[in-house]
Amino acid sequence: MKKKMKKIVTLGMAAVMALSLAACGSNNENTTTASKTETETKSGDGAEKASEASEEGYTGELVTLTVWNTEVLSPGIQNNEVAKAIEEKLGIKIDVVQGDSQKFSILVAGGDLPDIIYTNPAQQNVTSNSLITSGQLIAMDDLIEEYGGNVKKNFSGRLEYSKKYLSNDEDKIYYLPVLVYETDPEHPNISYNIESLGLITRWDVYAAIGYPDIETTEDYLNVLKQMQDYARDNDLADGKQIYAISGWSDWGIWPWYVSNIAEMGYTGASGLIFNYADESVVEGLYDSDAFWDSLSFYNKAYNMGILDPEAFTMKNDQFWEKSQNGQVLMAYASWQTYWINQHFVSEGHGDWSYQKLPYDGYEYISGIITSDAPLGSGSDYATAITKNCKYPERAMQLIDFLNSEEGARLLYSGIEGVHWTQEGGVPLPTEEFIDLSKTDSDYLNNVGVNLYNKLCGFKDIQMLSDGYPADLMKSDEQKAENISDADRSYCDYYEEKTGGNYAYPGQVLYDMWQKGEINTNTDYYVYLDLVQESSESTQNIMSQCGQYMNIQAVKAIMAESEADFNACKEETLAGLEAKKYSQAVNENMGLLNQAKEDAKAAGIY
Amino acid sequence: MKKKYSISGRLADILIVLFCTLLMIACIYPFYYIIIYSISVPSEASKGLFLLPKGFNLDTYKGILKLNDIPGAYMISICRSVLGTVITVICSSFFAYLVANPNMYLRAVVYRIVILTMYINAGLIPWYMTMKAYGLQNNFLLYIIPGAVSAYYVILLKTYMEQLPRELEESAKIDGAGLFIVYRKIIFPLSKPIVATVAVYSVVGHWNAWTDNYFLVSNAKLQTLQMVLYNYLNQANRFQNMTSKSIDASAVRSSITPTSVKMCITVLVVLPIMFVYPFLQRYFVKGIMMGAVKG
Amino acid sequence: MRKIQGQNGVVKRMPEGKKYFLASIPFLIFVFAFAYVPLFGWAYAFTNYSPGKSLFGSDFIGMQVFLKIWDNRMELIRVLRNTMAMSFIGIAASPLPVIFAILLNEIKSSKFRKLVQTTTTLPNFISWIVVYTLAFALFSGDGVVSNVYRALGIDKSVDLLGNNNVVWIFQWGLGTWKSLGWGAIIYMATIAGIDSELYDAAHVDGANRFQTIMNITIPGLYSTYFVLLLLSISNILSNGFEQYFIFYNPLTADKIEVLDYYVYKIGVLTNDYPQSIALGMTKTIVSVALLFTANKLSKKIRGVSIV
Repeated sequence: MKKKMKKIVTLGMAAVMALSLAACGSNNENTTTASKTETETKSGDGAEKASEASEEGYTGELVTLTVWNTEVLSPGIQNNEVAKAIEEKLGIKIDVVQGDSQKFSILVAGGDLPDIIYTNPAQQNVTSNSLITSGQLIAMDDLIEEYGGNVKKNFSGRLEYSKKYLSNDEDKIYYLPVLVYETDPEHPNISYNIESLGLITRWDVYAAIGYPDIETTEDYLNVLKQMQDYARDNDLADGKQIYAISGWSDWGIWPWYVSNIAEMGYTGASGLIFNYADESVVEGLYDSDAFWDSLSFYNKAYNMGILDPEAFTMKNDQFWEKSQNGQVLMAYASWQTYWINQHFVSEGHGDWSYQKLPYDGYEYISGIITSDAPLGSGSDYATAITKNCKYPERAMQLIDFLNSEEGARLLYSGIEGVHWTQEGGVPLPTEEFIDLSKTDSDYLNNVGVNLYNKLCGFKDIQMLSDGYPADLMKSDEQKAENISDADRSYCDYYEEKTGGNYAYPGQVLYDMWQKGEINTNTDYYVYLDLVQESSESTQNIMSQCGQYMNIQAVKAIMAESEADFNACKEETLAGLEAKKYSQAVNENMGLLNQAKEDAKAAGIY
Repeated sequence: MKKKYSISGRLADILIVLFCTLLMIACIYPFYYIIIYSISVPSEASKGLFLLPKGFNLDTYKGILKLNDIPGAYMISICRSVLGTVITVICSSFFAYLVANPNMYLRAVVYRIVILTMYINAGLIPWYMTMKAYGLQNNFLLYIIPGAVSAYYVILLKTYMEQLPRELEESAKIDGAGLFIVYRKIIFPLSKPIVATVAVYSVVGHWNAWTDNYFLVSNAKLQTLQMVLYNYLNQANRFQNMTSKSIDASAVRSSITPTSVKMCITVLVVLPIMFVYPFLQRYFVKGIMMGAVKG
Repeated sequence: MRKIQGQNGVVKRMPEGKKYFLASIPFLIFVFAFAYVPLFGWAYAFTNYSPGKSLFGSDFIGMQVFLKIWDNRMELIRVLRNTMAMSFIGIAASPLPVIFAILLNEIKSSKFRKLVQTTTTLPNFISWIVVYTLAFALFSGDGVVSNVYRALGIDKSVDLLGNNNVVWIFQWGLGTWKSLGWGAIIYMATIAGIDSELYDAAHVDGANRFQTIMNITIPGLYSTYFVLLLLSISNILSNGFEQYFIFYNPLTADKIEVLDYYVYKIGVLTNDYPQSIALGMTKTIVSVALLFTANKLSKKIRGVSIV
């Protein structure tokens, strides 16, 4: 026993020393890229095919830049084809760092932020101004001047905006907004289905009960009930319990109001909402009629027996599973239904699909076309370079490239000559690319398409100067080509009704909107991006109220009678008062109005 | 007065066996469920399983084992568990031995200083800054050094050691043994059951730990198994957490569901432990240790 | 060892005692470095620091943070109620692992005993997020148990995860299922260390199984049990975080929020870092006070001080 222990201990010491030595070296070389040398641009694997078609490779020092990005699928050194192409062209390897808000806070506190970050207070729990005052960011003015040709050329309005509103009054450029979109009036981007939020219904079941008319939300609820009965009678989910409406509890009360108030015509920010029709009436979210109408919708659904009681204990995972199993007949956003519809097809239920009904009793359909975003996503996801960056000029070169048309096309469509080609002046994705994207679930990951969009100055649907969107798969022609059978049946039905010609579901809604039969909102409220941060105490109050509402809203939805519902509402409003909700709302309203004034003064509103 | 030993004894035996069997089922079935879920076709499995897997599909396992980092991560976790446990066992038990001696100068003070550490928690940021200041960021030693003297283990060890007969120690001292020799030759061997217990707790603790990795270690070569698997799970979850205004989704959704990933991860993490466990188990399951004290 | 020709016996013991102390100094330094040094973080409770601000640039706001805590006292009281309730249930059930260890020890077949022992530790390795998935599959409205009821014609469906009334018992049940086998290990180890001579002597004296257990096994477990009990008492305010975070939902929020979750909520969800530190500090002080109080009681009752 003694001898064994000694052996173990000595081996251990040796191992520790070896590993510590390994650790001391700070380069995180991933074994597969270790062999790449700086000056060579030889062919050898997929990405290098492109080097013949693209410009000559970079001949200089190869550097690795760390980038904070929680949306990229796999952290660490990026090995996909797009990243390799960037490496070829710029000599920069991208090393992605990820984490939750706790990790981000720690990195900020310890001064260990990656070279390039984006700011997203909702996700990171650190305000954009705090990042500036923490001294962690560097001002990019000089860098942009020298290396930022494309940044200056494309959407230069961003720079002024950043200087004025995102620099903590220092009049410098710390943040560069991303994902700018300017509509091309000849080619507005009509969404394939709808752009994001909305109540989206199981079309096949709706069809099965005879496409009943819907004029009010009551009608919609009744139709959902009929759908539920039909689905249950016909056992559409293989014995599993079906509910028309379900939800999840781990995003707070998100399912219970977000899509509904969007369809009522409200938009907002910082806990306030206002109606598209009458911008001047701004109110706090939690005591507004719109919010409570929304809760009332779900309350009625609950009492009609069409709301899954497990929605209040389930997590988002389980909602996806239930939807994919066909147990849920209404969803909340297109980024859910897009994937679920694809899942249906791959599981042999190609006739099932979620579609946006033109009428569900609410006034608006949000997201028929993409509205302008001249300042991109404003202060959300705006790029910044931190003082830890040893190669700020290279960082700016990377950022500049991703703010160019060439870079945007690379990020969204892949490598020219490999994933898309120019056919007589018309850029088109290759057959192979289209095929593999549909059939191989790892393909797009391996190519790296769309992964780094948060660094890109352009939105994917932005029309480039060659008349095609940055993401070639999002052109009208591609959308029409990739229509699924279920989507086709939706289009066919409406073609019969209106005599129109529709290549994909979004066109149905677009047509109805042009004819004035349905409403959508296309205004861009530039001042929403100009609202300053509120004070700490207000932020605290708002968070606390949010936590409070998580409980009260569910109570209200589960109220068994109208009287109970109203009683709960009274109780909640009183509770909000006690938490000083109106004080916080007032401050936010003041900031919003101030932003409006600022926008007017700057002549942009 | 007393019933015949054999009847009540038999009855007791039967009841005990029955109870233990039921308990075993309650413990095994969930794990069995996890295993069959992990080898089922994920979309089928989400519809509900009971006794048999639905379909047969190893894609999730393949997806995990294909990751470049897995072999390295297994190595790191194994090294961490072994080295960390060795260090913890040696340091904690020696310290416990010192404190177990009633003659120790300032014994209560020393013991209490260590016990209090179980109650103090300075917060994530100060902990991070301190570890960084000690040079433990991105350093393998972070995994094995801070846990060397662990209050809970010290308590267990000390309580046990206190109960060992004093005479053995006394007689050794009379024979001229210094305190380290007494520890090594007498106390440590006698404390096998508790040392094995602490070893098991420590191995499992190290095997499952990942927060230090998450916050302080970004070097790709030093990632633990739990961290790699956790990252992979987040990948699978990422589709469903996108709330951005347009479909910024970046890949076709694969057939691997987050739930099946969780199940596979559990299996991959638990199986190695199950191999190691029986070796340590024999030290604290009675029957082998007859006459240990005499030795 | 240096032998001291002392005037009286007392002096002879001192060097030995001091030797032990000296030998322990490196460990104390170590403990200090890793556990006590980070406590400088407690200073943040008295500032208005939030992550992103410079560490030294935050203003000192003194005891205001405690005023904030006091303002929220209704919440805090509810949270404490939940915490204490679950802790008390846990303490009341603390003999369970002991009993289980004793039962295991009584199993005649060594193979079966090892099998039971190994399998009952399996739940310990299942992470809480998977436990949640399993619990959902079993105990939710559309889960296995409900389906069994339906199959048997009983028109009842069970939804333990959303039932506020059973929260304490249900969470305790899950916790026990997960930790029973694992927690029994320490008691098994203690039993293994009981001098086998005692058992031989008892057998010779004609004691039956029950008497043996009562007079030998159980007393042998006293020390360990009481130490762990003492620790549990001092840890009344700590129930752990992960379990409650995962099982939290709006329906059970009232009863499931424990202090550790509440501190997380304050610190991370409402982003009030100083308040969460202040709460943590208070928790420490109360726990330590409980520890020493319980220790004094133990001294009075059992005559032995545990710490």
